[in-house]
Amino acid sequence: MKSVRIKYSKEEQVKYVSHLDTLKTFTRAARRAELPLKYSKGFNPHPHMVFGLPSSVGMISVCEYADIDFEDGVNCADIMDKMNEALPEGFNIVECSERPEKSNIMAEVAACEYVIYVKTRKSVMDLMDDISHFISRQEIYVTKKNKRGEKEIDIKSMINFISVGEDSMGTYLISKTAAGNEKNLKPELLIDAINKYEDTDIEIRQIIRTEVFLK
Amino acid sequence: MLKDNLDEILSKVEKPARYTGGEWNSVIKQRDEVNVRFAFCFPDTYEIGMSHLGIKILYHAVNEVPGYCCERAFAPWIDMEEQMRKNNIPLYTLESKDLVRNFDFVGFTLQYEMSYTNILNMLDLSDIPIMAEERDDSMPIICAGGPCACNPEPLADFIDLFMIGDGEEHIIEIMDLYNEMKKNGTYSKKEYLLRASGIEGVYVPSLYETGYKEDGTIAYFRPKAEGVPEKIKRRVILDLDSAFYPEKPIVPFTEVVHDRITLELFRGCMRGCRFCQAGIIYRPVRWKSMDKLVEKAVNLVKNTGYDEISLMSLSSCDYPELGPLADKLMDKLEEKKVNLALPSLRLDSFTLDLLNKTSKVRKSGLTFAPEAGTQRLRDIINKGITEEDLYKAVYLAFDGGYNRVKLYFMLGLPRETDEDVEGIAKLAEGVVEEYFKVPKEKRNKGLTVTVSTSTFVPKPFTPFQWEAQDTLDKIAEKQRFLKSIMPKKVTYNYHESKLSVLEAVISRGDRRVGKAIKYAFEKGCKFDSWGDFFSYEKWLEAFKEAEIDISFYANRKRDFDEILPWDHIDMGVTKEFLIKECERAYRGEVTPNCAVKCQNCGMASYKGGICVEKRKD
Ligand code: SF4
Repeated sequence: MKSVRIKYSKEEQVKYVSHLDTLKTFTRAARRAELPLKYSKGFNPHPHMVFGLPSSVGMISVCEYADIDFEDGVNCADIMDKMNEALPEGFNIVECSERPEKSNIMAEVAACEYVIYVKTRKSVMDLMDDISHFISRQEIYVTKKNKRGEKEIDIKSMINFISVGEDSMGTYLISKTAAGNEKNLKPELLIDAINKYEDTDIEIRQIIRTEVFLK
Repeated sequence: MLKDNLDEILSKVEKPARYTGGEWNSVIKQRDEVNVRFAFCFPDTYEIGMSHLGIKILYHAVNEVPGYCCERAFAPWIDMEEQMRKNNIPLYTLESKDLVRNFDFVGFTLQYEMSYTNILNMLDLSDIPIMAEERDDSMPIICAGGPCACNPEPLADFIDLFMIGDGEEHIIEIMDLYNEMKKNGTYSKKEYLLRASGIEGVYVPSLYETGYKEDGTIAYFRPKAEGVPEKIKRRVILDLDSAFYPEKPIVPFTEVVHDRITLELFRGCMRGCRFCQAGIIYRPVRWKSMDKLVEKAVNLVKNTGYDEISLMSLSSCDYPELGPLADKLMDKLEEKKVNLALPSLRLDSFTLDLLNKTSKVRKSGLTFAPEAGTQRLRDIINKGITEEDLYKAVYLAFDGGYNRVKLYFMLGLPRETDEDVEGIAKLAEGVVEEYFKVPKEKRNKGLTVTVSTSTFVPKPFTPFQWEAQDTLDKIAEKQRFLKSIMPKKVTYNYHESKLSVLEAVISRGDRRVGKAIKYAFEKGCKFDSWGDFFSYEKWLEAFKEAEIDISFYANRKRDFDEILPWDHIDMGVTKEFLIKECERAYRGEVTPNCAVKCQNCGMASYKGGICVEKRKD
């Protein structure tokens, strides 16, 4: 068996493709590329493919990870080339390397970096002040919704940094926040928190995931 | 411009990937390499439209031609429409994101009557006037084709040009004429439509006039100008092996209803069930050769990455070499982990062997359609299935481990009696008994037998095209009766038949019915076939305002010599044949299928398909 980890980008054209559909897209691409996916045994055989912390619908990402198992006899360079040829435009594998068989990308994600383009009536300078004020708080409570209901949690420790900038596309924030199975702070929730604590009116225009940090 | 606005609304709607295109195998041509652009519009959701074989064929057939392009648009779901209207975003195509109204042609496929309000809604969303006469030369030519185009009259006010019959060559011809006229500067909508009416299979409704008698029936129907054909002859592609069939169909990102490869085995159906429109309007049966099919299947798997192939045809089990074909396909594709699916099983050609081949893993439910409850009525509708056929088939199925069976019937068939309705319950009971005949250790636990009834809708070009549909009350009464006598072990499903009433009015409607469709649209009717949006009340109001008497269209029995709204359409099958079949039905006489004995239905004039095949005897 050949266990690999790929890093790929999910660009503008495909940013609305959901996680489940991305999985299907990769499976079909591998089949078109005639790469020997490793199928599970049993009643309803399916390929082994794990996507680590997939970005949400609408997000652009230059850093997505997936673990895929192939049969023996293929090498990483081949997988990358052939997959890229068979993937719809907008998905692009940029790295492919062997991984230990048992390793699981889901368990290894530690933090993410995002660039968040925003709409706000504030100037960049003002926003910078707001953000530094925000980060200097001792505790930052937000309501997190999950299947079991709502929960108040302190996200302060999950924020690594936030900075503010501006380019031809407009004002943006750059954030690095905790991510993964244990602690996970989504950029949408972070923006909510800023708006809740500071006198800001930040609206998200586009989120771009620029980096995923592994443990 | 459109892009920015789009982005904002896409984040607010459900399943936005339906509106963005970019799927594998979709074709995007540069604007400067195309002369004629065709916007293929499917008047239902993306999920339904992308499951449809016709759109795949025509889309790629056009895109094969250098200089022509075909792009797609679907009916946006309610939330998307709301956002589009609020933000002034007209309907656009998925490929170039250009506006539909900027195209040269806008084509709709007519798969079911209840999508007609969606057509008007999509035109409106495109900022295109819905009335044909209000559209000038700057507007695209609005055309339509597909099975419901065999009675185009209810849409005559809205559509410029209908394409009758197989479309894959036809569509190119109408684009060729347009291209030529644009190039040499002779194009005007009027002139184009006039010349297009000379292309075989083209029907331009504005070139015809009609009048009515006092009793409401049609007095005359005739061309307005000389040279316009009196009858429009359906286009038929006889050699399907050499006809275009896409080997690189689009693979959607999001789940669609039929998310798999469709392999069309043949066109047409030789059975001749008397209620079935498809069985007539796709005649004659035209087989594809096994070798070609296998070759296509292998390429399709390679080009799409799908892991399932569905063998599609009106009655796939009639394919003469179905067993060998399934073997060969499995042979070639098993190691690629490809499943075969057979959607339309027929009782009388049902074998366990085949089932085992096609569904190695899944022992899911089986579906049978006896359509009527007694032999007498099945003979009337020419559904050549006996009780024994059904029992034998389900026994084999239960014996093979199946435990879910669905049975489909129609209520309101011509000459139906209480006894026939009772027969449905009895047949279901019999199926349950077959299950218990299978030794306990062999059968799977948890039997479910489901009976579903639909309401019979008399359709144009069938031997029952003159028949009256049961009234709503009558059907409701039959449904209640059937429910009261259905065995306990059987689940009985039925729908309110209001939709079937509308279907009956529209499918056999004349030009006057168009007004009601327009009013219904203006009242907000859309997605009528989606239960959640269907408003019978609004439709009733629309009919009233259009002065359309529902019963005149739905519940009236016609005489054989009445001029029918679709008489000017020549589907190839003669009226004499339909009359003969209708009379045989009344006498309860069964008609053998095309493979056994030719009935001289009129199709033989096309000189192809099953009509020219040697018969065994
Ligand atoms: S002409 Fe004969 S063989 Fe051909 S479709 Fe009609 S009945 Fe069948």
